[in-house]
Parts: sequence; C-alpha cells; structure tokens
Amino acid sequence: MEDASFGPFGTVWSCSVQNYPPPPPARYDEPYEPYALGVVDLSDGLRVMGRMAVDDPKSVKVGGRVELVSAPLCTEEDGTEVLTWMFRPI
Amino acid sequence: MRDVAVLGVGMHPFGKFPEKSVTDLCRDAVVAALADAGLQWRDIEAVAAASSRFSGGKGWGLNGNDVVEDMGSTGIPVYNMSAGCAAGGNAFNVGYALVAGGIYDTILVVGGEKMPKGFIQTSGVEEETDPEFLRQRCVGMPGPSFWALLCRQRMEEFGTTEEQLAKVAVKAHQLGVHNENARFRKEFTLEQVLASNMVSDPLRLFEICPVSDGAAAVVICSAEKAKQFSANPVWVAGSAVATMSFDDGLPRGLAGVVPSGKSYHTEATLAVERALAQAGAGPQDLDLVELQDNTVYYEFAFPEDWGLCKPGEAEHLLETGETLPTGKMPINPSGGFLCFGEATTAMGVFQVCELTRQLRGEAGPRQVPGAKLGLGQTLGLGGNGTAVVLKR
Repeated sequence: MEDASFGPFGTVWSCSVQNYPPPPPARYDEPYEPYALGVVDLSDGLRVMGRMAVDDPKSVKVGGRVELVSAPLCTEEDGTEVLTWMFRPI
Repeated sequence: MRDVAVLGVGMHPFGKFPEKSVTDLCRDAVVAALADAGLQWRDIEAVAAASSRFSGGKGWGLNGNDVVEDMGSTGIPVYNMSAGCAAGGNAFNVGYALVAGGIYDTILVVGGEKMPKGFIQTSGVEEETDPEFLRQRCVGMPGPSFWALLCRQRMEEFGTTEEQLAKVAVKAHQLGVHNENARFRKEFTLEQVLASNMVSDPLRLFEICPVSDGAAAVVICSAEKAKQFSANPVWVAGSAVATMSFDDGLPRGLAGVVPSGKSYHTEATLAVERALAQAGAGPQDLDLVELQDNTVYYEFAFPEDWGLCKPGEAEHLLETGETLPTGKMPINPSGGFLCFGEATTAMGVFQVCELTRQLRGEAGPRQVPGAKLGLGQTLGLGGNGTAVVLKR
C-alpha cells in the first residue's frame, strides 16, 4: 500500500439539496439553512461525497467543475469554528 | 441440496402500533404462518430470525430468542441474522440453506420491527472509523439524500422527469389499496404526489417510504415434509445473498472508486443473478418482482440493473402500464415499501409472504394472472444484498 494524493479538481456526478435539518450525528448552526450536497468525481479516479460551498444550494449543476476546499461546517459553543471538506464551483 | 417448500406465511399488518410490543407483532405473524402451514409450534425445529437494531432482541439483536421465549421454550436452535435492512432476506437464506442442506426439516423464518419516529440514521455508532458516521457528521448527508443523489444522476442520464417519479407513487398506491396488510391504503393523484413536500431534491415525501411497525413469518420445509401437507406447494427455486463489489459506483461512506462502467448496488445485482442462476431462469422468465423501493427511483433502476428491461426503458414501461400486475413486467404488486413503510428487518420475509400469495393465486385484485415465477430482493447497510426466487 502506498500513499496517494488526489484532487483538488473534479466534476459533479450528482447533487441534491438537503431541505430539512438532518438528525444527529449531523451538525449545523441554528437557524438551519438548506445546503447543497454533491458527489464529485476527482480527476484521479476517486468519487467523493461532500457539501457544496455555494450561497444558493439550487445553483449546483451535474457536470460542473469544482475544487476541493476546506470550509466551516458549524461553530462550537465556545466559538470554535469546525471545518470540513467541501466542493466549490470553479 | 434438497428441494425446499414454503409451507406457510403470515403477517402482522404494517402501521404504527404504540400499544403493542415487537413480540406482540411477531406472535401474530408466527401464529398466522403456523396456521397457514397446518403446523403447531412444537413442529418447528429451528428459527432463523432477523436481528433488529431498533426493537426487541434485548438490545443484542436476539430477536429470534424473543420469539422462542414467547411461543414456548422448546430448546430449539435460534439463528439471529444481522444484515441491516437486508436481515429478513438474510435470515430466509440461512433458513433455506439449513433445510436444503438436510440439517433440519422444518424452520420458521421471522422478522419484526417497531421503528422509531422519523427518517432513520443509517449508522448506529459514533466512531471515527465508521464511514457512515463520518458522512453524517462531516457532510450532513442522511439516508434520503443518498437516494436523492442517485435519482438526480438518473434524471441527468435518461431525462427522467419529476412527473414520471411521481407516477411510480401513484401506481404503488393503486395497488396497495387492495392489500389488507398495507399501512397506507389510499389512492393519490399525480397532483397530490407532486404537491407533497420536497424532502431531498428531487424526491418528495410521497416518493420516499416511511418507517413502519410490522412483522412477517414463513414456515419452510423439505419436499418430503411438504408432501404431507400440500399437493402443490410453493417452492424456493433460488435463494442467495451477496455483498457489494469493489467496483461499485455508489459512494456509500465518504468515497469510492469511479467505476469504468455502470455499477450501482452491486450487492443487489449479484444476489439477483445468483438466485436466478440457481433457479435456472433468466430475468425475462420472471412473472413478478417484489423489490426494495425505499424510493420511487428504484422501480426504474433495479429492473434495468437486473436485465428485466433495457437501460432507460423503465419510465416508458411504467407509463404504458407494463409494471402493473396485468403488464409484461409487474413490479411490486403488493404496493411495495411505499405503501407498507419499512419495518426494516421484516421486509425480506414480507416479500416471501407476498410472492407466495401471488404464486398461490390468493392476491385478489392485485393478482398477477397465472404467476409462476417471482423474485424478491432486499439490500441493507454494509453492502448486503439478498434475493429469493419462488416458483410454482
């Protein structure tokens, strides 16, 4: 087994909008805002799930080019920002 | 291997039963299956049960032990099978193998559930090594969105419309209204389905199966035993289980490979192919199919995956009535998960009950005329797939 690097560029295979607050263990800041989900085929042959870093969740299109980024998922009670991986359209 | 017959089937209707325990539900199903078979509890030599994560089983999935303690502790062996939502189908396969292999003559297969409220979370653990947990925690992607992503991809590939998705739900309820064990026995118009809330774009509330309470039980036995009770029983022509293969194109946890061809739900396809091979039959020989329609998408995708029709053809077959009991490719004449709701681990056993009634010609207004060969299919967390082919 060898380490391999992948990304950061890929193509949206499919997408959806999470219209309702997901049950635990998912996390989000109140008030809940619907967000976009994407499945992205990275150019290196890996298919990865992720949230889409977009303002309008309906703007994501299948076949669109995206970049793998880190972005805020939620904020802890003590103000710590929790980061996760997301896909941003390019 | 010996021939195996389905001697008796029984169900507790599906719905919400806050006043009943899962043991109450299973008892009704088992008593009905025994009566249908013409047997007593003491005739059962072993139990193959579906293990539940949600109800009974002392929290350890010992759901078969609950049934034995309730029906009578006769000292018989109990096999508690865990395979997520495929547990019922898995328990049937184990029961089948034990009879076919000559270990026992008469086995009870049972699955029952009391489900918690709302859409269930797939993962039951909070462990950083569990990809299902990580997907929910780090991405925020619950079960219905998994189906939504699949469905959106199909819409892009084949041009499936929102109206066509809604028509699957309309058709399901046209049939479920005739099923006395179904939870939702009400017809809906296309407009009503399209007006239901968008849950996970593009899937609406009436296009996704909810969770239900319910139970199902079947008695299976050797051919020699079956002859004592029935001159013309329903036979198990094939029973198979599978797990997903490496080139599966569904991103189940966080990531997977991009497959070279189209390969989604390989666990289901492999199980179906194996069961059909055992039966010596091809997909075109099937008179009816009971498939796991957690959402309307699967009624289009699965028949194509399994070779019942060509890729991209399923929408047309639905719209021309070919998936009705009177059509050339009947799908889910029971009303399916959309009308029953999913009592997760009972579903594989529920399908055997429905197929058996169809093959006996006891399905009333939802009967597939002259049905002789039927397929049932479930899948569950962990990439578990099951399939059963029954014949008469």
